[in-house]
Amino acid sequence: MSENVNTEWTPRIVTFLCNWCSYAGADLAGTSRLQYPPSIRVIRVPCSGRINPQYIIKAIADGADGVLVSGCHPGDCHYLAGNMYARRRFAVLKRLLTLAGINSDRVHFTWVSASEAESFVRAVKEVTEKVRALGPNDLGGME
Amino acid sequence: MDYTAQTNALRAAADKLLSEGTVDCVIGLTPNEAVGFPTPIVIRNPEDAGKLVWDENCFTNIAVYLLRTTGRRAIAAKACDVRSIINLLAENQLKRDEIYIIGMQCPGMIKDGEPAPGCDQCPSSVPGISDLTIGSDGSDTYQDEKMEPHGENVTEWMENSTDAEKKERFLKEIDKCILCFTCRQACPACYCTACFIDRKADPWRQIDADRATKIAFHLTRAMHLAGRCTDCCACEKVCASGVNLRYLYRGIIEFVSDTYGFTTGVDPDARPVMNSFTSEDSETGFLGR
Repeated sequence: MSENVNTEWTPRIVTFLCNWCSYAGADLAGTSRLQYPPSIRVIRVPCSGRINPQYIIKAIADGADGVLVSGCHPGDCHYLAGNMYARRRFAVLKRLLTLAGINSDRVHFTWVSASEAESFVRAVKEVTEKVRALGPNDLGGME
Repeated sequence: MDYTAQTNALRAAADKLLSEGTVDCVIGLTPNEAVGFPTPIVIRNPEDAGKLVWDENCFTNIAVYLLRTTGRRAIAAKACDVRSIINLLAENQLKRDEIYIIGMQCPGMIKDGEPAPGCDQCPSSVPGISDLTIGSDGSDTYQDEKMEPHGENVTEWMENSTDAEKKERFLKEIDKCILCFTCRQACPACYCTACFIDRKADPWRQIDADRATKIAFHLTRAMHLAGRCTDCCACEKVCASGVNLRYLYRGIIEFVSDTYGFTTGVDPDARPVMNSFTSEDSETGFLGR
């Protein structure tokens, strides 16, 4: 291997961002030239309430190292209450994954508004560090 | 324990309901060749009332058959069946005036010579709602209703176990599964006409019996049952491979109860917990909180 190759393992973090706040916040982070780890794979969804918990379970079961979900702050949902339903769903899902032995540091939920580029960067950095500390996800993986 | 009086009272009630035309059918249990495992039966003629049985092996949750029959139907239901029925009423899957609940007192059922799964967490020997009551002695009053829940406290177990232990327990159960979906068929809360796992049109969700699929199926099922599972253990009772994931559902029941103060199967008019929210909902475990 060439010496130029970065040997430090970078986790793959499936990231669900809502179209109206968090995706715009991530976009702002990019246009503002803010630096954050290249570990996230962004999937844009209409609303955090649109995120079927199955997506998160499927991502983990198929070997994603981590999952980050972000939506509008409670009260700011473009669809009025999508993120309020999502909040309960995520709280329950987090407990379920913990029960199943999936470290709770693998799955993260946060709220990022369209103007909070720095908050988004902070979240990505924090999640990447936490998942990196856990190492690769060996739960299932594609066979 | 003697169940003759209760069986006779049930047969008499079924006979009366069918002869008078109060209901179109009665859903109950009947003995079959498998000793200790009565099978569900739907009777439509008063003459067939004698086929009904009520004994210590009637652990099957027959609430699910309300979803597969139409018209006015009576059901011989014990406490756990009625909790499932209340959940179905709350979710508008049944009309209360079409259902005639024959509330059977149940001091706990026996399966394979041992207490049936789920009976260890039962809070009461009598159904929450009923149109007709049949007590243990065959009379129309219940006796000694209180039961002592003494099963596993999953939240406690979760807090005292490492991730490795939790994962080991989970994978041990998952690896027994052969994806036959009997748990789903027996579950009174699993009534989707098209289950997510059956949607083969999406190639990324096709059914391979690999570990990832089993994990996805069982975790998603547990998620779908959040705030809806009544801990009747119908899934565990029918599983041919002995998969026991009850602790997952149980853990969610405890979480929902502690966090949102909601208990499934108590109030038929309550809004399902995952279909409601408050502005003060807990954000424990969220980033930065």
